[in-house]
Amino acid sequence: MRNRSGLIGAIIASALVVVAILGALEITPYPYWQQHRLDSLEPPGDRYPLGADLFGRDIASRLMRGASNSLYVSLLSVCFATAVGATIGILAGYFGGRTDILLMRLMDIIFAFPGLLLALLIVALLGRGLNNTLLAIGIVYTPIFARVARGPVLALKETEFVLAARVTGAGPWHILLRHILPNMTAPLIVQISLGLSWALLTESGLSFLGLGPEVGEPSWGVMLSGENRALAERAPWLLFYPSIAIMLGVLSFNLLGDGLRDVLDPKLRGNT
Amino acid sequence: MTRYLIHRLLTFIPTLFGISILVFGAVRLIPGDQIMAALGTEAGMLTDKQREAMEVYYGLDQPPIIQYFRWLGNLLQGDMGISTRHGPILAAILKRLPLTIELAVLSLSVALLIGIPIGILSALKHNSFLDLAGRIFAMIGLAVPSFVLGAILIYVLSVGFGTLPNSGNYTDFIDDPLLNLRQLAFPAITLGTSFAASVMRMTRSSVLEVRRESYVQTARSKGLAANLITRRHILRNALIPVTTLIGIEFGYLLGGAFIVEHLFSLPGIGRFAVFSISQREYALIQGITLFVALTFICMNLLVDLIYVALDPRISYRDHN
Amino acid sequence: MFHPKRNILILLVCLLLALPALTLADGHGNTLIMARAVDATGLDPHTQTAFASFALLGMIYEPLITLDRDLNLTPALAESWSFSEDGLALTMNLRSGVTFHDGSAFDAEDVIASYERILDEETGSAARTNYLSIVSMDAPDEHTVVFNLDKPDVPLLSAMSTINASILSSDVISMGDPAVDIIGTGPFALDSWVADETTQLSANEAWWGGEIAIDGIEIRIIPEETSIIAAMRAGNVHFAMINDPLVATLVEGEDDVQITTIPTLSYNGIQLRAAREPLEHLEARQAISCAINRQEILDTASLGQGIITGPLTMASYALPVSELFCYEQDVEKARELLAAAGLQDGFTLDIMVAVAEPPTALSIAQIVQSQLAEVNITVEIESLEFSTYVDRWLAADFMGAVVLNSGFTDPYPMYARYWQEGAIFQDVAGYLDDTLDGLMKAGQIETDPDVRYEIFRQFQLHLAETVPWIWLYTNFTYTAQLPSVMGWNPGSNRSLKFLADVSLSS
Repeated sequence: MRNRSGLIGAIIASALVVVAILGALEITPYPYWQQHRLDSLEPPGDRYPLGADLFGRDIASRLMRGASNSLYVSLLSVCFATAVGATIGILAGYFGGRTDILLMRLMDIIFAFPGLLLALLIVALLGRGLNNTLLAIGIVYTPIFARVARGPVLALKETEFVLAARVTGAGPWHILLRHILPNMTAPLIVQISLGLSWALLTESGLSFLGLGPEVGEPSWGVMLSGENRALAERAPWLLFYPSIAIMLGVLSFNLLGDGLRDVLDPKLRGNT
Repeated sequence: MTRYLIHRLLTFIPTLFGISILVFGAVRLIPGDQIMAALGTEAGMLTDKQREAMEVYYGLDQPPIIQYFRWLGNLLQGDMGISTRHGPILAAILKRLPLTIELAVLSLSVALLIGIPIGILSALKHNSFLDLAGRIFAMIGLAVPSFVLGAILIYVLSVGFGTLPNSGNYTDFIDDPLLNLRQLAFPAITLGTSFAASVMRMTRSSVLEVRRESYVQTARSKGLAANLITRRHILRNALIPVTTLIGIEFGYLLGGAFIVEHLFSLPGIGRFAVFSISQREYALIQGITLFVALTFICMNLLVDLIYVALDPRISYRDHN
Repeated sequence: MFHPKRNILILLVCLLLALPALTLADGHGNTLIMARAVDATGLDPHTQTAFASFALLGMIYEPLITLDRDLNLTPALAESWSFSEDGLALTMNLRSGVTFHDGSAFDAEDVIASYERILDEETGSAARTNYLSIVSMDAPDEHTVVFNLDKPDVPLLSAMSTINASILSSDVISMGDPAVDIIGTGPFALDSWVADETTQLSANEAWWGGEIAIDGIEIRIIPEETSIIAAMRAGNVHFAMINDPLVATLVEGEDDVQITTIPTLSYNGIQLRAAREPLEHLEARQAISCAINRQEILDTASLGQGIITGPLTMASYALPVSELFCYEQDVEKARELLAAAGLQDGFTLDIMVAVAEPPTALSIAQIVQSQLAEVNITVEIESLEFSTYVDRWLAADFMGAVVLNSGFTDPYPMYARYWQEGAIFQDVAGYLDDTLDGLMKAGQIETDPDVRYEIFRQFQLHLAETVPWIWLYTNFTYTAQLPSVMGWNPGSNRSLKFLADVSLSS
């Protein structure tokens, strides 16, 4: 990849993924849940490189575990939004007519519904938990992916190669899968990389409201909320490191997205 | 153009209708009701007769379907109902909406102020060190969750400078514009920085795109000074997609400013919405949701109209 | 049209205006600016149950009897009271010369109208059960009311001292709406209330309790307690109520903001439901009580802000915790108890927690989780939004619940709702035995203080040993004030009515 910023984004993102995998496998300096209550609010030092929280849990270990939970939520919520949203968008765009109106009107309803309220209602309804959080975020972002997918389909279905395929008698599913989908991956991939950073921030916003993974499971958002916020003044490391983690995550997804955009955009290909 | 406008306004109806059903159903499916929210576990001390009296008081005594149509009927006559704590709901919402709209406008201004210059610079110096540095700088704003940035600002202001412009005494712009702007400056910075990055990215990518459009190439070949090309063609066209983004983010700011309103104790619509959910004030949640949604779709319509005005290539004569 | 330059210009002007002129002139003269995080849920004193409502209404309304700084009963709108020989008549001698905020005079008619309203089921007063022994009321003259009771009822006096027993004007009850027409006799009159935002109170110049030094109080709702502290450091708020011990302890040792710690009778604990398998085994419950370390929970979750307590929290009845079963952590004993119940391999205990109700609830649950893991008890924590939690609690749909339950000055009303046959929350409490039932019934009617003390001593020992619930520690509540606030002394009483004694120095 000749794209410098994209490369930096890719490197940071891969590093975070490695950390997240270690966290998911619980290969951490301390068990992320283990309390050392005598070391409550221990500042960063030899024993706890990034300090300890109110319960004497190792921040570094919790950040690693948090990486796996936060990335899980953002990746899967974006996957959900992409899968559902893009399918709806493609179907609406390709078939047009009533299907289009019905599906896109449905998307408009969700799109116009205040996002945070929608997520709040969904989590209040389903209860707290990693999967419910990701579902809530996924639903909120679905209409955006539907819109992103529908536009190119409208353009593509009038192109010569699609018309040609239709004339030769190819069925709609064949055309969708073989001719249209491959030609619209670029805008989708860019949107996905953007969606990842939104999801990461939305997760932390929901944690602020007391919604997030199951109690005891850290995510970067959870580590920035609850008792840690009240304690931030006397133990700044509680907020400092999770903030850095979210920052790195958002930064890498954005740089990666910009890089992919530059590389995948056919208009830019070959230039510069 | 008029036909397009009428068509768009007509689509508001099914959207708002759908939202009204969605929110009406959702709030009633959440466990707990307003009596429990108000009384806590003491709600269990009520006798059956007492509970019935409370249900009548809170308007919970009718079956949901009847509640819905009664609510809808009143809504069409401009009556959103009455909250036991906040009085007439329409007035209560209209009282809080201006603050949130003002905050959204100010935050967007902050976002544009940071995002557009960096975006243009970053595109013009594509793939240079300046490009990377500028983008990372802008993205840091996006990357810090607003509640962390807000908390830091509040701490620094109160401990470092012994001041805090708003301490629960929010003043409307009309009453005291100067005080009002002082009170909103820091919340706007907190919110605005997080949007600067998306504005920057959108600006950057559309400038890049427009730069390669043929008419710029033509202009260049005609020998126009590079500076003039940048100003006349690129900027004007590049800013078109930014207006779309503003429409979307404005909507987000309306519903999503809750955290900043909470931290800076601003009585806006976001904070009102979250309070009304925790208090299970159904009519209030419904009213706020509809109002925010309506503002959002109006804003998007407005953005689309600006779009037409800005971009000679687009017209809305006969299609959507 | 879109003009970035114009936007930039406008914004620059805004910022320039904002930055230099930051000092905020709070020119409110002699009005006390007060902040708190949570507002009253409503203004009808007879139906409110939340402390946040009591705090506000306690400044506006008064009951016949009230509690002094040490939580002893003291006259308010009644100057004195006496029970008849047989305990079936309670005579209240009312204060004369008292007027309501609207200028109308207070007399026996208002007292009778208020109690009739509380007892009327249409009112929806959750406290009604505390007054059910009242069968009728007479007013021999304007300033005397006799309550006729169907049985001797000692705890009635303490029930009469709550905000729920506030005296309203009979005119408001008959012609107005007590949720809207806020007319009391207390030291402060309500000028305006914007829910969740601001409340304006003005001093009641005609108050019977004496002169009030401040002109009024402006209450601002600042939902984030750390933002309240920031507002105080900036000098914009004189006085604040703080709930979270983690926030209150922030300003310890600061000269600019002083903290007053007020002990409360409320207790943090874990309600178990002994009806749920395997908690029906006495040993399983006892093992939980032995395996936890209450001091450690207190020190970590609340930074030591509280006092380890048994079932009764009022000083006049509370036993030293050393007398209670397993208040010293004893992990070995816990293991033996589990083995005796055939549970040596442990079991799963589901505990539900309400988010931020109280602020320390999630921390308590997580420490208990960690401590019980030592004896193979796996704690699953479920964190719920408050109203959802209430829904589940009322339906008795839980195995364990972290609670902050209110305490009373009298033991009987504190537990009558849980541990008596047919008690309204018997199912929620999840446990009852004959001893408990008998002790409660004896405690209600016993009038001899020494005998009554012994009854409730046995009651505490029995509860600690049978462990239907886990009692942890009492809660502190806090006020923060600037040094310019003079004369604030609430003692052990968290009522804000003592703000009547406060003055502001310049």
